[in-house]
Amino acid sequence: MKLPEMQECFWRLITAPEPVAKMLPELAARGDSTSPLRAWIAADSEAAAALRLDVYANMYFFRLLDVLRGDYSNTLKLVGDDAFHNLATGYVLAHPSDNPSLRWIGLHLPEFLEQSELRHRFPAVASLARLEWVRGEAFDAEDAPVASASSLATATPESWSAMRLRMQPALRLLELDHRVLAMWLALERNEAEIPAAPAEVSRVVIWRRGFRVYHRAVGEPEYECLRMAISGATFAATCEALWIHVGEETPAVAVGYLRTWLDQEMVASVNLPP
Amino acid sequence: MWQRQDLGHGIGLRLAHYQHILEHGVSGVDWFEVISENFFEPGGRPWAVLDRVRAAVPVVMHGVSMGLGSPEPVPDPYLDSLCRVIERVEPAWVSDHLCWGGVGGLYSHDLLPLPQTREAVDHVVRQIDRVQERTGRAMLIENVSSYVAFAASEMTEWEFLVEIVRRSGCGILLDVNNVYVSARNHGFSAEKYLDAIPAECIGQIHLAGHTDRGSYLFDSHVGPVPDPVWQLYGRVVRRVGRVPSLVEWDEGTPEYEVVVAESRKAAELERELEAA
Repeated sequence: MKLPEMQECFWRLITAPEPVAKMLPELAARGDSTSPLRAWIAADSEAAAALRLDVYANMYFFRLLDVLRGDYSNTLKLVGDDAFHNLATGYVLAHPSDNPSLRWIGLHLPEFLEQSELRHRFPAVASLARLEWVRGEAFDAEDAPVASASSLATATPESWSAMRLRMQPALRLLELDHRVLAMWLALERNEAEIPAAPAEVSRVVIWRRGFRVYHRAVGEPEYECLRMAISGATFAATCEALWIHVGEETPAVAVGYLRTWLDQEMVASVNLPP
Repeated sequence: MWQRQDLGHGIGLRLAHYQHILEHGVSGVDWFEVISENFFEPGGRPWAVLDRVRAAVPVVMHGVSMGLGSPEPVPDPYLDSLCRVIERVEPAWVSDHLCWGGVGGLYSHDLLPLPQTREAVDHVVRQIDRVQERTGRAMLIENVSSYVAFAASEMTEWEFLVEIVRRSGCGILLDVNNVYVSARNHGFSAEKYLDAIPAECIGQIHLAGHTDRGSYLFDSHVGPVPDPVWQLYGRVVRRVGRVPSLVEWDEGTPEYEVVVAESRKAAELERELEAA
């Protein structure tokens, strides 16, 4: 057996959801190239070879499970150990790791949850998982300086309209189909009572101050303004979009948002025209 | 060709010690080893800790996903990420494992064993050449613990390792615990293995604990370094002289000072052997 073929056999056995020993009769019956194991594994018996391959099969699954449990600690608390174990079994079969860093193994879990049976018992579980994943993205996103309110000191009335913000690279926006923030907080604090998460669209901004990740709910107008700021729109264009939501209050509301974003360290730099 | 640097004795940079390092800085170790892939993302606390460490002591980079023996070539995006980290960290050296990690662009995140065949030697040497050319430096490869042996193997594990090193010009990160674990699992002599490794090829030593699971030993990196592993370490140092060593403690990682104290045992043993 050539090296690549042997590796294919090894891979199929260690990534399967069943223990290798349990699969042996079926593999032998269908003449699978992995069978008999002793054709390519040095061992005293088929059972001994299977047991040693199972060491790798167990390491494969449990390492991925450990990372998923860490990345989705509140989802785990919500659904419980057994359900999460079963979820992870199905998930890693459907989405094996395609990134050299384990940090990305959980990337597709929120969308996987949307199709999962768990959704019937825990309707908000996919939204909760999405919030957890995006908080993780903010955790190790690129660093950037923090702009302060004094960045606006040199702005003239004319330069305000052409002003562009560079938002923190860690800043993320999320639109969820459940209001999960209270649920997330209760799970995070290990509270005994976990509030339900109403099935209503909710918008969340996630960012990092220092090493700590924060999130808060935002209304549709602020969400839209943040989206435009991230895309590099001018302050004038952002105000134009805001007008649809708040009309004549636009200047006051826009300046209020800007102050909040600066205070909460969401802005990396304020770029005024020369 | 590989040239050994006399860096002293270090520990692995682990999440469990991030807060300690941020609050108290680095003390008691000569250098740190970091897992390369943990720094493929650009910012946040991991990099803040690494920058702090790097400002205090030398750092070496140790990869776990290069997949030198995987069927496909080491992917370009992987090498791009690795080179970015190398540029920022300026490590004393870079290492990875003599193993394979997955097929078809998928990763097991495990260190899977290779059959010791000429075909595998040729394949791995090509991959090491590629990595060394791309990074512009000689690398170290580490022997892994294994739980299966292959019917197709044509040579011993140490012959396999030395042949690859000779042909590629890389050095060896000799994991003494892995030699002990594999020797017990496959019934070969750990002493014979270690004695067969050319002294000039050894760039670094790994020390760690393992778990006895009855029918085999498991490379768990749990607990302090056990006596048989210290004895094998002593055997290598007596023959080879000073080699940078590193204690790995990944399961139930204790407080920073405890891991550092374990690393100082290696320094102490080295001193005793030098004086003898």
